[in-house]
Amino acid sequence: MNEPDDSELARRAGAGDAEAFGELIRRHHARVAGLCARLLDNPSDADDAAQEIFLRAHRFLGKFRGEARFSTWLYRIALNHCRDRRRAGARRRSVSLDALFEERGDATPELREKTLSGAAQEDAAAAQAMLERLPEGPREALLLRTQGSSYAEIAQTLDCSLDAVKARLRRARRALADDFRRQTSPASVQADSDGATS
Amino acid sequence: MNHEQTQELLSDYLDGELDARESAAAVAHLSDCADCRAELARYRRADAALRAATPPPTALQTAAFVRAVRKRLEAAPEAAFLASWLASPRFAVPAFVLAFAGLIAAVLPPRADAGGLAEALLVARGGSGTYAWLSKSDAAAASAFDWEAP
Repeated sequence: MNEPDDSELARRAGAGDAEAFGELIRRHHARVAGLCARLLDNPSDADDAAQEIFLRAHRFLGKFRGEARFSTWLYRIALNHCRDRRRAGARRRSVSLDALFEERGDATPELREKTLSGAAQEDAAAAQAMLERLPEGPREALLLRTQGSSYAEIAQTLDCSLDAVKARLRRARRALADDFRRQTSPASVQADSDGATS
Repeated sequence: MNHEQTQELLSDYLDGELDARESAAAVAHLSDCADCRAELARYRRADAALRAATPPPTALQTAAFVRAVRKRLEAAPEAAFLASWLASPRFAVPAFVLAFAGLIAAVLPPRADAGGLAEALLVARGGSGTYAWLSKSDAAAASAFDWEAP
């Protein structure tokens, strides 16, 4: 039997089917949680924000018409909620992967080591810090893209044109690449470069 | 495709958003240009770092998250239901019509036979209550009645 698509689940959830709404949460938790974690200042904020985003979505399921994909509608709610929280004066996030993993319940140091190598941890922390310095548009576009959204989905979520999506992604990646260039030794760049063409 | 053009299109190239002709031109330039290859490598590294910064939650974490959301929904089901009802067209359309009717009533000049309105209101409310929200002329007309219920 085919799995119901998101629109069908949203329709059922709007009619009071709690199991359908639970399935929608299961399908989209990872991406919503990822957006919150990278857009907000600390992991505990992120988990609470992710819950509130799903509560808000549940509240407004009656407004979902199925004209856009459910994921696009949900991510727009998520971005708006995160923007509201940031603007409400949440303190700036000091990048702390230890806090991140602790809060997510991931972990003992051993598990963390299995998840990210030392170099990858440094890169992740650096990328997060760089991300914080980007303007809102490029930052959100890149986050959506790295979470697997297509250009069309990003355009719908951010309510902008495809050309604007391309421009924002270029700007974000260029800024991050500039930061990496400044902090990377020539030897490792050469290694990266060789890897890129392999 | 020259160096500047390739640099401009690296992000699109990385995402597979170039058409076949542009993509072939970019590949041709990349094979000859170490700077562009290094820049593309940095783009890839940044994307990978961002993905790695927040590894996906485990199934157990998602199950706990679903329970947490449900618990919050159950804690305030009336509020959630009311909000969804308010957001629905079943409520929004009549509400708009009522609001529009109220606006029209507010801007129209008072009618000479406003007492008729006041009387109708009194009958409808069983002869008790307040008429503070009536217009002045309506209120004056209403005062002619025995307003306070025994």
